Amino acid sequence: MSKAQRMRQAFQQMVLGPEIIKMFVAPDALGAKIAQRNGADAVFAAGYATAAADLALPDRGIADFGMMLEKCRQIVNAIDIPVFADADTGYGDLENVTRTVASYEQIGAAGIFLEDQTWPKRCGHMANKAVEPTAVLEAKLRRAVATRKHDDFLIMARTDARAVYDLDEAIARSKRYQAAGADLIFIEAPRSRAELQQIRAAFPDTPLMANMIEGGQTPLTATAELKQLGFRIVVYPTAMTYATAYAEEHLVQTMIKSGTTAGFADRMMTFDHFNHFIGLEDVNAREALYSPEKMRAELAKRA
Amino acid sequence: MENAPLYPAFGSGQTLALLRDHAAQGYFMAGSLAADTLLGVRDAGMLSCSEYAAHLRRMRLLTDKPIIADLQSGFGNPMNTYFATQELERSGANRLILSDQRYPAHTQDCPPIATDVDFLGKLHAALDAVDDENTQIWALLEGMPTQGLETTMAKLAWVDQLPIGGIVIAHWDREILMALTAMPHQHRLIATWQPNVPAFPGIDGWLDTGYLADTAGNWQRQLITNLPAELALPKEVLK
Repeated sequence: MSKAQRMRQAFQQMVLGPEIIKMFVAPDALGAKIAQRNGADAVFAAGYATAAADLALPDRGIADFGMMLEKCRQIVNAIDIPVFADADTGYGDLENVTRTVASYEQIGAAGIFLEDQTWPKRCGHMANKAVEPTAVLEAKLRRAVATRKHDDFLIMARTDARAVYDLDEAIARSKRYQAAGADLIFIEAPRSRAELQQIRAAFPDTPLMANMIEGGQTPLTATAELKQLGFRIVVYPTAMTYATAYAEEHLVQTMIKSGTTAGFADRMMTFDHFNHFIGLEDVNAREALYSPEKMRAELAKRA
Repeated sequence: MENAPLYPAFGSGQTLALLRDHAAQGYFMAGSLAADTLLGVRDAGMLSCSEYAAHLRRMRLLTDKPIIADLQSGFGNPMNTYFATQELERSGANRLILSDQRYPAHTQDCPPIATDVDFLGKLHAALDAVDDENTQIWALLEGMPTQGLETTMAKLAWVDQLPIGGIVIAHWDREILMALTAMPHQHRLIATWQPNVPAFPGIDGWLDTGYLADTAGNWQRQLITNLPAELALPKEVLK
């Protein structure tokens, strides 16, 4: 069984299992490895963090398909827990959706979400969003389901209609998206605990995702409480980006002010710790397996 | 030749899209042709593994048939070979051809050849890196012009003992193929293919390395030469 198969199956089992999936958006492969080593169940490759890490730009629909796919691929290859992918609007029309789905499935993502914003889209918690007519994402979801090669490559429908219209419209759209084939539902940016409850009541048997953005529209809600509310996935899309940016900002300020990074050392991994964490011993051991001495001895035996 | 399949080579999506309508058992994404497509240079050694792999992933979406990938000389030492094999397999390769050339593996008639120690290490690394049990490593022997028949026969003997999927023989002539196919061996022997090559007992497959690209290139050159006068390019541009 390939790694891609193992990851899809693992993610589907988690979605169907009793626990809530704790998922972090990683800005890069290193962040993904940190998330895995410290207990995340899955990693999300998503736009806000990718636009920030790769372009130093806001999540305003500037990171395109190629960038997003490559970011996801790097993360998939770096870790051994499932990676779910933000496929934005599918990057165009139905023909683009076909390529998007095939490509994400090919690189080993466990699934993707597609959303109903107009392109260029923006972060779901930013102002002035616009959404397409419902039929647009319905058609994209039908095409996505028809394109995927494996039923356990899960497809999530995201709607941003809560901000543009109201929660009733977001729920109504999501019902249609589910009927079009979405396996999972994500209603972006509900504004209260009551709205989270209302979403759950509308989809009692459907796996739902909650998006926890620090300073966003939705109140930060503890994982245990989200589980109690009936959500199956909680994702932190900005936390690692904000934490990294904060640490780096303070590091540079410290160095500029004091002329050395010594004052920051207690907030860094050490040289040895980091090399161990990043897998230096493993790579060295791999190289040693094929050392000239060993190969010379083997050739002598085979002669 | 009825029973010995031909694996056509491609370097561009245009060629693969044309090839996939034909009944080949698999397609060879030659590094030299990929370099030609991506860089305009017919030299595999100019492409890095990540560049080749990115192109492979796009080609993978065009066909469900096996793709034979060009692992070249492993893109470095055995450790690099290990990671390159992982990268090409997860980019969609079903078979990976590892050459006994020295790194970097430039496309040339008399390539410098790696030591047996280096090549064995790379073969082990490639075999260890494979994730899917159906993925095969093929060994490409290119040493004939520089090392001669006797050395190549000795190399084939120990390479054949490894759990690879096939051995590809390059830079051959009829006498060489006769000698190599007459050796006891367990793995498939595949030879690089040339137009009008006759059937050869003991050869289990033929690997194209660029016939379609060469032919198409010749036609394109002719077409450019014969452009109508108002479109014709100055001769110095055509050089």
